[in-house]
Amino acid sequence: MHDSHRKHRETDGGGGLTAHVFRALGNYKIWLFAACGIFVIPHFSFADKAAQPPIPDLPLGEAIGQVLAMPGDAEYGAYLATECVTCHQQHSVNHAIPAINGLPREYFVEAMLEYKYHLRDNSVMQAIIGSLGMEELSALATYFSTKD
Amino acid sequence: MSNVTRRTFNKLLGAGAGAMAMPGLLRAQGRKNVVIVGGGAGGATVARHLAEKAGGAINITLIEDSEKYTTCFFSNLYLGGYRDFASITHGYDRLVNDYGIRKITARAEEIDRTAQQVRTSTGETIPYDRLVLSPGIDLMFDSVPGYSRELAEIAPHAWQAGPQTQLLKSKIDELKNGDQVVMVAPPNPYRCPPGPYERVSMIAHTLKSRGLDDCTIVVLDPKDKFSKQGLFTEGWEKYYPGMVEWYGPNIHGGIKGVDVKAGTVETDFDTFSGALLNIIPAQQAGSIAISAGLSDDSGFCPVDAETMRSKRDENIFVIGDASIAGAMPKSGSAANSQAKVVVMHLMGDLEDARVFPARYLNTCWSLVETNDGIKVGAQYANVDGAIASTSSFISQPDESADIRRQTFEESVAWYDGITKDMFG
Ligand SMILES: Cc1cc2nc3c(=O)[nH]c(=O)nc-3n(C[C@H](O)[C@H](O)[C@H](O)COP(=O)(O)OP(=O)(O)OC[C@H]3O[C@@H](n4cnc5c(N)ncnc54)[C@H](O)[C@@H]3O)c2cc1C
Ligand code: HEC
Repeated sequence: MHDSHRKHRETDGGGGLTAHVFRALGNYKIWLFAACGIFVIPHFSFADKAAQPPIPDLPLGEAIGQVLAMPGDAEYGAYLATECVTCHQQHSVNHAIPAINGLPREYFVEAMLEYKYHLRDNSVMQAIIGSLGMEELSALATYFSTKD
Repeated sequence: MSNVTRRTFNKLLGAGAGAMAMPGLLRAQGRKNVVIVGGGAGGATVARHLAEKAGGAINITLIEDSEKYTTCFFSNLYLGGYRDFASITHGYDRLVNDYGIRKITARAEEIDRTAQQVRTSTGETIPYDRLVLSPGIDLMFDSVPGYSRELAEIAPHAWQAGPQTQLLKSKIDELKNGDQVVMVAPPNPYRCPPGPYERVSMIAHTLKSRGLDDCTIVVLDPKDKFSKQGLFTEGWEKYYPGMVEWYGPNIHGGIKGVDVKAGTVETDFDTFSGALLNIIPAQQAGSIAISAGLSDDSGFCPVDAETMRSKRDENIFVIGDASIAGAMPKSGSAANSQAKVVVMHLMGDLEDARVFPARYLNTCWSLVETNDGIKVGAQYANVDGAIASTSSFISQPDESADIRRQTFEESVAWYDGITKDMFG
């Protein structure tokens, strides 16, 4: 079945397209305009690049200080945290995603900002912090520091 | 927690009054009723998080057809032999016993939006103050001419996890060297954009590890490009050379139909034969959302970007695959994230709790080969009335093996996390 099918494709006239050509060029890389018989080998657009805000100008130390100086709205933090707990469980059972409950505010804020400043390179966390402002960060820090 | 509260409360009351009659009475009086249809990625998350927040102040009823829920997420890893079926199947016991949620195992048959009640296949009528619909997708079998619900017993779709997934696995396990698998991929929009291509990788992995290198997997795709395409094609070339052939519409010219009994798929370009056909048809919102009049011409349900409230009915929220959630893909991760926005608004509507600007998140992980995981994801928010991406990430083609292994390990931790987040 397999063979006859392939043969059928090889002998297919029209577009002048053969299985050999498909194979040689890596089939899934070829886009064929069958009607006019033109091959286009596309560059797969890695338009799919990460889109994250640029690293802030403010020095990291100052950013940490500013966030820590904010009171941190724990209720807001409780809402924002619902997103985090899908990945960060109460007790870490898998080292790939650590538990974050009870992290001291200072550690928490610094760790988060290290993702923002690309001093930590995990792309999931970089995207997450990329959409959090200082107020949100402070709210989350307050919330998580009081959880056990 | 809510359970303890309720039990203590009942005990206190029981001391003075007719103890047996009271709990039912209490349930009926005063407390608001939230009904959730669908106990999957969206619905189970709403149930659990609402129970946690409301602490017994709201009656929560979960109407779900099945006794147990098999996740589509990681079902491809089951096909690849990395997971057993039990590990992707979850029960509702903790939601019922620890969170005080009433689970009705039945189909929601009809929604009466005027009377605000849901009728079930077991003949019950459940009133609601707010209704949450997360019914997932319905497959449009006739979108692939020649295919049908009955023929899915021969050529599985396995796009709703459960017996279909087990059927596909058993058919993969029966393949012999030289056999061809033909997948008909779905048109947009469909649940889990990288899902078909992760599946191709996992089937190839299974065949290769059984020494069946002469097998081929042909993908006939109605789309001219697909999610994480560069990453998948790189992986196929690296791990499964010669095994995977992907044809977009520019090559096959259009999928004409399938003859399941003959094992063929006809396209404009050629007829493809397979010892195994995996047909994934077009999709629309679960039928209950459509029959309730909540969908538009696209077959999915328009919602408010800030709240996930139906644009057709302010007492109903539609989340997950059934909703039109702007730039968000249809995924378990997205449904889980939308659920949290809904819980906040349920608490705002019914308990006067504070509400905050909605934030949404999606991450889709895929496994290409052992320890080679890739990921794509984004944050979203309401931007001028539409859910739009605010930051994003995607694995890169030149990444080290270490990063790919780490990505796979993250995905395992994510699976563990999201299923606990849904089911407690
Ligand atoms: C092969 C595959 C791989 C995937 N991999 C991933 C992944 O890695 N990551 C990811 O995030 N997503 C993944 N997904 C997508 C994910 O499974 C879905 O997007 C997600 O389940 C959607 O959640 P939902 O709540 O909308 O629907 P579902 O999870 O499908 O839940 C709907 C539930 O509603 C019930 N139901 C429907 N109608 C009724 C009714 N009338 N009455 C009672 N009950 C009803 C159904 O029985 C079902 O249990 C994958 C999907 C597939 C097919
Ligand atoms: C999709 C999964 C995912 C989500 C959602 C997520 N994280 Fe993370 N997080 C990770 C991973 C993976 C790591 C480990 C990254 C690394 O190795 O640097 C991490 C690491 C962290 C750390 C560093 C911990 C330490 O011990 O140094 C903090 C803090 C953190 N996350 C906070 C958050 C907060 C706050 C949220 C919600 C706003 C969140 N995360 C949401 C996956 C996630």
